[in-house]
Amino acid sequence: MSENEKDKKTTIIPIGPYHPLQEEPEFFELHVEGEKVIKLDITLGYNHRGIEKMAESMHYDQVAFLVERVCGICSASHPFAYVNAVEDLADIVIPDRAKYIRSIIGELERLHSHLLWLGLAGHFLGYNTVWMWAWKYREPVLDICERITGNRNHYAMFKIGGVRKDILNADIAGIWKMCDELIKPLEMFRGAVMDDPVIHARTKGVGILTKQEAIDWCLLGPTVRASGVAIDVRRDDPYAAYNMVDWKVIVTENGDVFDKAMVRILEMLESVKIIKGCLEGLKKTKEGEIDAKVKSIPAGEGIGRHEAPRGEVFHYVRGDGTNRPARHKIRAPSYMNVPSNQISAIGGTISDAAIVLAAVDPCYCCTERCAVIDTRTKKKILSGEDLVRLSQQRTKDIISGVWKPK
Amino acid sequence: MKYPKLREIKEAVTALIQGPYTTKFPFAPHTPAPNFRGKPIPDEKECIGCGACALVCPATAIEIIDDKAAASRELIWHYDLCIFCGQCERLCTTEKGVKLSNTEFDLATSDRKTLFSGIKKELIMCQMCDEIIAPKDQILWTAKKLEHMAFGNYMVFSALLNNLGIAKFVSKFGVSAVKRLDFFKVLCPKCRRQSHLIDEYGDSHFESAK
Repeated sequence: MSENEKDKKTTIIPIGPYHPLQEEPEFFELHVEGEKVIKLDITLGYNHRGIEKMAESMHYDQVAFLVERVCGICSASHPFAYVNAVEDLADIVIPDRAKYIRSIIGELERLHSHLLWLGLAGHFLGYNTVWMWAWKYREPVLDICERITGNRNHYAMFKIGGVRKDILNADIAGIWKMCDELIKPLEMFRGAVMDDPVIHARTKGVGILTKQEAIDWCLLGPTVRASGVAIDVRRDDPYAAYNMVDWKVIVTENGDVFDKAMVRILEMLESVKIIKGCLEGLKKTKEGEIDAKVKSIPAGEGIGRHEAPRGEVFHYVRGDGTNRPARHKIRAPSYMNVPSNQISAIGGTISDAAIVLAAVDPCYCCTERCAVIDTRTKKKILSGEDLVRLSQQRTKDIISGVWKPK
Repeated sequence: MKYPKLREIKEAVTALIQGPYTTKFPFAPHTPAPNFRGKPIPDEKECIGCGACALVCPATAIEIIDDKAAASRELIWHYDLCIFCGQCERLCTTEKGVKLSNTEFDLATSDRKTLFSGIKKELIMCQMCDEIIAPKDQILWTAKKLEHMAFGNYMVFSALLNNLGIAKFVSKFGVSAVKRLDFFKVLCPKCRRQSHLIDEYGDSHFESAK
């Protein structure tokens, strides 16, 4: 059979450009033969906002608020990685109390993000009871966020050299109680996923990523931990208070959607453990010592990493001694995770594809911040290769001193 | 196989008794947490109009409009641009000029032009070149901070006297006014330097230096 005849037999099923369930702009083109998916085209890049360029025109302090708005769900991850990067640049040591508070915010974000994913996963499966449950029990987590930071999302807590708002010692008991109340629903979710026949039937053995594939495709976060690769920046390169409290990395072996759900649910229980450890730690430190009072940022470069709910988020900041970053580069985890659908979705059925494509917990607004498009022809004028070449050229120019940050 | 369904029934029954988990917000009032970051409300009395908040605002939601002819400055908080981060409150010069409300959050409207609040401040202008020196309240605030040392600076203490109603600001001197008197005018830093140079070295020297 020639290539042409083969094409005639396949049907193209479009999902996107505006995803009906995830409500984000991406375009999956499923090439199917009957029910079976044989090819998958992923088109991303609908979401250009020029965040990196904007960061170069703002003060270091203002950029923390800007990167918070890269994504609504990861609104602690990006500033977390960004302040880590700037602290690496300027060699700033932050007070212990600020470390604990940062970890608390980071873990609260993981809790609500995983609950959001769990709800969406149920919704994708058509099992809306899970959706309603998960989002119902997500509310108390957001209430804790509001109580600590002053907002349900967009915490405005991260500051170079510390945090902006203290958790008062008098408040700790109340927050502890709210955390305790989370354990019961989380245990219920563990049970609900482990023994629910519907979830078993729909997710077990679906969208398998083997350990080798996960390593080959450089996957991150719960996606890779579900395939038996134990990587976690919180443990491998400790920052904030993650090496000061007791917790463990959750790893499962099968790499299917069920395991990805399991990893996320068990991680939530670990997150509660980390939060409680941090609250214990807060009692040992002095109230009000939350800021290292940074005066200036020297020239140099720094990298910052944070294990976001979806995987490792990476920020690179280059300073030239002024009060604005000369270059700011963001790499979000979905950038690595989304292409893995090329493996996991192919060979399955269309009905499975919906949940498999969502299993990596994609976040497009984190991932996409640049695309070069000709406005007249609507064609991309810079391909991926061009961008790599440009990036390498810029790095060479910086090293050789041809290009200097303004 | 039976247990999962029993669990669902239990949850359904409790939900039936307790009613919906969601709040009845638009129909019933909602009280946010005490820490909640809501609408920033400027304080006419405590704000000194220095404009530090506009410099630190990450969303550039605070606008400063200087009217030189009327010698007044308007500071406007645009709530449609505001991200409610609380930087203006945290970094306020007087620490009391603007406060984030923890109850006012319901700002939805069909006309975004109504989404602002502003305050007006009187400016002190240079008597030579009509350049803005600072808002009157900022100078008075500085004078209060400096206490007895405020009298070391003519501009500050004249603003103090003016505020007490003892002295009056003359709107503008002619350039031909007696040179020596220039020391006792309310001048912007540039004009003060200029008059000082003229006094020390004379007109001709200053002209050549220019």
